[in-house]
Amino acid sequence: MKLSTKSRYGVRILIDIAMNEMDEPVRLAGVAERQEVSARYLEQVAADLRKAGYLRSVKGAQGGYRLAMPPKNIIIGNILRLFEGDIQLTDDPQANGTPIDRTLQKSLYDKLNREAAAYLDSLTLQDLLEQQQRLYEGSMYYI
Amino acid sequence: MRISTRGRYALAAMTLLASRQDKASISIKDIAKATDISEKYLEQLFIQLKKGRLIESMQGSGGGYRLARDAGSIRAGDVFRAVESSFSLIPCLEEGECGRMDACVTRSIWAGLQSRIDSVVDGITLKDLADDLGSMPRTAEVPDYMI
Repeated sequence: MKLSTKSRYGVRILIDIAMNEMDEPVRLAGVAERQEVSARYLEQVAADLRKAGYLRSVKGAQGGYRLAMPPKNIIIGNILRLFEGDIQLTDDPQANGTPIDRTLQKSLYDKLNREAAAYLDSLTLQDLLEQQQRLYEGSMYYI
Repeated sequence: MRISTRGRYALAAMTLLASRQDKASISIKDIAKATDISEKYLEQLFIQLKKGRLIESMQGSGGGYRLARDAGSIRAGDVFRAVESSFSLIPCLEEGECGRMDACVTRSIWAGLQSRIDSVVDGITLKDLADDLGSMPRTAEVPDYMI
Protein backbone atom coordinates (compact mmCIF):
# COMPACT_ATOMS: atom_id res chain seq x y z
CA MET A 1 0.00 0.00 0.00
CA LYS A 2 2.21 2.78 -1.28
CA LEU A 3 1.68 6.33 -2.35
CA SER A 4 3.62 7.34 -5.48
CA THR A 5 6.54 9.73 -5.22
CA LYS A 6 4.82 11.94 -7.76
CA SER A 7 1.90 12.51 -5.40
CA ARG A 8 4.20 13.34 -2.55
CA TYR A 9 6.32 15.75 -4.56
CA GLY A 10 3.27 17.20 -6.26
CA VAL A 11 1.96 18.37 -2.91
CA ARG A 12 5.38 19.55 -1.77
CA ILE A 13 5.88 21.66 -4.91
CA LEU A 14 2.51 23.33 -4.41
CA ILE A 15 3.29 24.18 -0.79
CA ASP A 16 6.74 25.45 -1.69
CA ILE A 17 5.51 27.65 -4.52
CA ALA A 18 2.64 29.00 -2.46
CA MET A 19 5.01 29.95 0.34
CA ASN A 20 7.70 31.45 -1.83
CA GLU A 21 5.90 33.28 -4.60
CA MET A 22 5.71 36.97 -3.93
CA ASP A 23 6.61 39.58 -6.50
CA GLU A 24 8.40 37.07 -8.61
CA PRO A 25 7.42 33.59 -9.74
CA VAL A 26 9.22 30.67 -8.11
CA ARG A 27 12.09 29.00 -9.94
CA LEU A 28 12.02 25.22 -9.91
CA ALA A 29 15.74 25.17 -9.19
CA GLY A 30 14.96 26.88 -5.90
CA VAL A 31 12.20 24.40 -5.10
CA ALA A 32 14.58 21.54 -5.90
CA GLU A 33 17.19 22.94 -3.55
CA ARG A 34 14.76 23.48 -0.68
CA GLN A 35 13.07 20.11 -1.13
CA GLU A 36 16.32 18.25 -1.81
CA VAL A 37 15.09 16.66 -5.04
CA SER A 38 16.45 16.80 -8.58
CA ALA A 39 15.14 19.71 -10.63
CA ARG A 40 14.69 17.37 -13.56
CA TYR A 41 12.23 15.25 -11.66
CA LEU A 42 10.38 18.26 -10.33
CA GLU A 43 9.99 19.55 -13.87
CA GLN A 44 7.96 16.51 -14.82
CA VAL A 45 5.75 16.87 -11.79
CA ALA A 46 5.35 20.62 -12.30
CA ALA A 47 4.45 20.04 -15.96
CA ASP A 48 1.62 17.73 -14.88
CA LEU A 49 0.38 20.32 -12.39
CA ARG A 50 0.52 23.01 -15.05
CA LYS A 51 -1.41 20.94 -17.59
CA ALA A 52 -4.06 20.23 -14.97
CA GLY A 53 -4.43 23.97 -14.34
CA TYR A 54 -2.92 24.23 -10.84
CA LEU A 55 0.27 26.05 -11.87
CA ARG A 56 1.06 28.55 -14.53
CA SER A 57 4.52 29.13 -15.91
CA VAL A 58 5.94 32.57 -16.44
CA LYS A 59 8.50 32.90 -19.22
CA GLY A 60 11.53 35.13 -19.29
CA ALA A 61 14.64 35.92 -17.29
CA GLN A 62 12.67 36.15 -14.05
CA GLY A 63 10.53 33.21 -15.13
CA GLY A 64 9.22 30.41 -12.98
CA TYR A 65 5.97 29.07 -11.62
CA ARG A 66 3.00 30.57 -9.85
CA LEU A 67 -0.15 29.03 -8.47
CA ALA A 68 -2.89 29.35 -11.05
CA MET A 69 -5.67 29.50 -8.45
CA PRO A 70 -6.11 30.46 -4.79
CA PRO A 71 -4.82 27.81 -2.33
CA LYS A 72 -8.27 27.35 -0.82
CA ASN A 73 -9.50 26.07 -4.19
CA ILE A 74 -6.82 23.41 -4.46
CA ILE A 75 -8.19 20.19 -2.97
CA ILE A 76 -5.57 17.66 -1.93
CA GLY A 77 -7.79 14.73 -2.99
CA ASN A 78 -7.75 16.09 -6.54
CA ILE A 79 -3.97 16.41 -6.57
CA LEU A 80 -3.75 12.75 -5.61
CA ARG A 81 -6.31 11.77 -8.25
CA LEU A 82 -4.13 13.55 -10.79
CA PHE A 83 -1.05 11.52 -9.91
CA GLU A 84 -2.53 8.23 -8.69
CA GLY A 85 -5.36 7.99 -11.21
CA ASP A 86 -7.85 7.62 -8.36
CA ILE A 87 -7.78 7.55 -4.58
CA GLN A 88 -9.20 4.10 -4.03
CA LEU A 89 -7.48 1.53 -1.86
CA THR A 90 -8.92 -1.36 -3.87
CA ASP A 91 -9.84 -1.91 -7.52
CA ASP A 92 -13.47 -1.78 -8.51
CA PRO A 93 -15.21 -5.05 -7.62
CA GLN A 94 -15.59 -7.68 -10.32
CA ALA A 95 -19.09 -8.46 -11.48
CA ASN A 96 -18.65 -12.20 -10.94
CA GLY A 97 -17.05 -12.03 -7.51
CA THR A 98 -17.59 -14.74 -4.89
CA PRO A 99 -19.93 -14.13 -1.93
CA ILE A 100 -16.80 -13.51 0.16
CA ASP A 101 -15.58 -10.88 -2.29
CA ARG A 102 -18.93 -9.17 -2.20
CA THR A 103 -19.02 -9.25 1.58
CA LEU A 104 -15.55 -7.72 1.91
CA GLN A 105 -16.45 -5.07 -0.63
CA LYS A 106 -19.57 -4.07 1.21
CA SER A 107 -18.39 -4.41 4.79
CA LEU A 108 -14.86 -3.09 4.45
CA TYR A 109 -13.52 -1.83 1.13
CA ASP A 110 -16.36 0.53 0.30
CA LYS A 111 -15.99 2.10 3.71
CA LEU A 112 -12.23 2.37 3.37
CA ASN A 113 -12.50 4.08 -0.01
CA ARG A 114 -15.17 6.45 1.26
CA GLU A 115 -13.17 7.46 4.33
CA ALA A 116 -9.96 8.02 2.38
CA ALA A 117 -11.75 10.20 -0.18
CA ALA A 118 -13.65 12.16 2.46
CA TYR A 119 -10.46 12.94 4.35
CA LEU A 120 -8.40 13.94 1.32
CA ASP A 121 -11.23 16.00 -0.14
CA SER A 122 -11.62 17.86 3.15
CA LEU A 123 -8.06 19.21 2.92
CA THR A 124 -7.10 22.18 0.81
CA LEU A 125 -3.70 23.67 0.08
CA GLN A 126 -4.77 26.57 2.28
CA ASP A 127 -5.08 24.24 5.29
CA LEU A 128 -1.59 22.90 4.66
CA LEU A 129 -0.12 26.38 4.38
CA GLU A 130 -1.63 27.31 7.71
CA GLN A 131 -0.23 24.15 9.28
CA GLN A 132 3.15 24.85 7.77
CA GLN A 133 3.08 28.37 9.17
CA ARG A 134 2.36 27.03 12.64
CA LEU A 135 5.19 24.49 12.33
CA TYR A 136 7.65 27.25 11.44
CA GLU A 137 6.50 29.48 14.24
CA GLY A 138 6.71 26.54 16.64
CA SER A 139 10.25 25.63 15.62
CA MET A 140 11.44 29.23 15.85
CA TYR A 141 10.67 29.37 19.53
CA TYR A 142 12.82 26.32 20.16
CA ILE A 143 15.90 27.49 18.30
CA MET B 1 -2.39 3.64 -3.27
CA ARG B 2 -3.72 0.12 -3.24
CA ILE B 3 -4.06 -2.61 -0.69
CA SER B 4 -2.08 -5.45 -2.28
CA THR B 5 -3.64 -8.49 -3.91
CA ARG B 6 -1.88 -10.54 -1.24
CA GLY B 7 -3.71 -8.59 1.43
CA ARG B 8 -7.12 -8.91 -0.19
CA TYR B 9 -6.68 -12.62 -0.93
CA ALA B 10 -5.49 -13.32 2.59
CA LEU B 11 -8.50 -11.55 4.05
CA ALA B 12 -10.87 -13.50 1.79
CA ALA B 13 -9.36 -16.82 2.90
CA MET B 14 -9.41 -15.78 6.56
CA THR B 15 -13.05 -14.73 6.32
CA LEU B 16 -13.86 -18.19 5.00
CA LEU B 17 -12.00 -19.85 7.89
CA ALA B 18 -13.85 -17.59 10.31
CA SER B 19 -17.19 -18.65 8.85
CA ARG B 20 -16.59 -22.33 9.73
CA GLN B 21 -18.70 -23.63 12.55
CA ASP B 22 -16.87 -24.92 15.64
CA LYS B 23 -13.50 -23.98 14.18
CA ALA B 24 -13.59 -27.04 11.88
CA SER B 25 -10.57 -27.12 9.59
CA ILE B 26 -10.92 -26.86 5.85
CA SER B 27 -8.68 -28.20 3.09
CA ILE B 28 -6.73 -25.90 0.84
CA LYS B 29 -8.63 -27.32 -2.12
CA ASP B 30 -11.98 -26.25 -0.68
CA ILE B 31 -10.61 -22.85 0.28
CA ALA B 32 -9.41 -22.41 -3.31
CA LYS B 33 -12.83 -23.32 -4.62
CA ALA B 34 -14.72 -20.93 -2.35
CA THR B 35 -12.40 -17.99 -2.79
CA ASP B 36 -11.48 -18.44 -6.45
CA ILE B 37 -7.79 -18.18 -5.53
CA SER B 38 -5.27 -20.76 -6.77
CA GLU B 39 -4.05 -23.39 -4.31
CA LYS B 40 -0.48 -22.38 -5.03
CA TYR B 41 -1.11 -18.77 -4.12
CA LEU B 42 -3.01 -19.76 -1.00
CA GLU B 43 -0.17 -21.99 0.14
CA GLN B 44 2.22 -19.06 -0.02
CA LEU B 45 -0.13 -16.83 1.91
CA PHE B 46 -0.73 -19.49 4.52
CA ILE B 47 2.98 -19.78 5.25
CA GLN B 48 2.93 -16.14 6.30
CA LEU B 49 -0.38 -16.33 8.12
CA LYS B 50 0.94 -19.31 10.03
CA LYS B 51 4.13 -17.46 10.87
CA GLY B 52 1.98 -14.61 12.09
CA ARG B 53 0.14 -17.12 14.31
CA LEU B 54 -3.20 -16.32 12.76
CA ILE B 55 -3.87 -19.84 11.45
CA GLU B 56 -2.82 -23.37 12.28
CA SER B 57 -2.62 -26.44 10.09
CA MET B 58 -4.16 -29.76 11.05
CA GLN B 59 -2.48 -32.94 9.86
CA GLY B 60 -4.03 -36.19 8.72
CA SER B 61 -7.18 -37.07 6.84
CA GLY B 62 -9.71 -34.32 7.20
CA GLY B 63 -6.73 -32.04 7.80
CA GLY B 64 -6.47 -28.51 6.59
CA TYR B 65 -6.38 -25.07 8.07
CA ARG B 66 -8.25 -23.24 10.77
CA LEU B 67 -7.94 -20.01 12.70
CA ALA B 68 -5.36 -20.11 15.47
CA ARG B 69 -7.55 -18.01 17.73
CA ASP B 70 -11.00 -16.63 18.15
CA ALA B 71 -12.34 -14.84 15.05
CA GLY B 72 -13.46 -11.96 17.23
CA SER B 73 -9.86 -11.29 18.26
CA ILE B 74 -8.41 -11.08 14.73
CA ARG B 75 -8.82 -7.72 13.01
CA ALA B 76 -8.70 -7.19 9.23
CA GLY B 77 -5.64 -5.02 9.86
CA ASP B 78 -3.84 -7.96 11.52
CA VAL B 79 -4.32 -10.02 8.37
CA PHE B 80 -3.05 -7.26 6.06
CA ARG B 81 0.00 -6.63 8.22
CA ALA B 82 0.82 -10.35 8.34
CA VAL B 83 1.10 -10.66 4.56
CA GLU B 84 2.10 -7.20 3.32
CA SER B 85 5.73 -6.23 3.64
CA SER B 86 4.57 -2.79 4.69
CA PHE B 87 1.14 -1.43 5.39
CA SER B 88 2.33 2.18 5.45
CA LEU B 89 1.50 4.65 2.71
CA ILE B 90 4.98 6.17 2.74
CA PRO B 91 8.30 5.03 4.21
CA CYS B 92 8.64 7.95 6.63
CA LEU B 93 5.54 6.85 8.52
CA GLU B 94 7.69 4.03 9.79
CA GLU B 95 9.61 6.10 12.27
CA GLY B 96 12.99 7.64 11.88
CA GLU B 97 13.19 7.60 8.10
CA CYS B 98 13.37 11.33 7.62
CA GLY B 99 15.44 14.04 9.24
CA ARG B 100 13.07 16.83 8.27
CA MET B 101 10.08 15.27 9.97
CA ASP B 102 9.28 18.26 12.20
CA ALA B 103 9.06 20.70 9.34
CA CYS B 104 7.29 18.43 6.90
CA VAL B 105 3.64 19.27 6.63
CA THR B 106 3.02 16.76 3.86
CA ARG B 107 3.90 14.00 6.29
CA SER B 108 1.00 15.10 8.45
CA ILE B 109 -1.44 14.59 5.55
CA TRP B 110 -0.22 11.06 4.94
CA ALA B 111 -0.16 10.32 8.65
CA GLY B 112 -3.75 11.53 8.88
CA LEU B 113 -4.78 9.31 5.98
CA GLN B 114 -2.88 6.38 7.43
CA SER B 115 -4.59 6.71 10.80
CA ARG B 116 -8.02 6.77 9.13
CA ILE B 117 -7.17 3.65 7.14
CA ASP B 118 -5.82 1.92 10.25
CA SER B 119 -8.90 2.73 12.27
CA VAL B 120 -11.17 1.22 9.61
CA VAL B 121 -9.17 -1.99 9.18
CA ASP B 122 -8.62 -2.35 12.92
CA GLY B 123 -12.25 -1.60 13.66
CA ILE B 124 -13.55 -4.76 12.04
CA THR B 125 -12.83 -8.38 13.03
CA LEU B 126 -13.03 -11.64 11.14
CA LYS B 127 -16.09 -12.45 13.21
CA ASP B 128 -17.84 -9.30 11.92
CA LEU B 129 -16.95 -10.25 8.35
CA ALA B 130 -18.05 -13.88 8.79
CA ASP B 131 -21.37 -12.69 10.26
CA ASP B 132 -21.86 -10.37 7.29
CA LEU B 133 -21.03 -13.24 4.94
CA GLY B 134 -23.60 -15.44 6.69
CA SER B 135 -26.31 -12.86 6.17
CA MET B 136 -25.56 -12.41 2.46
CA PRO B 137 -28.49 -13.33 0.25
CA ARG B 138 -27.68 -16.53 -1.62
CA THR B 139 -28.33 -16.79 -5.29
CA ALA B 140 -28.50 -19.80 -7.59
CA GLU B 141 -25.15 -19.14 -9.32
CA VAL B 142 -23.34 -19.11 -6.01
CA PRO B 143 -21.55 -22.39 -5.27
CA ASP B 144 -22.54 -23.78 -1.93
CA TYR B 145 -19.19 -24.10 -0.25
CA MET B 146 -20.59 -24.15 3.27
CA ILE B 147 -21.13 -27.92 3.12
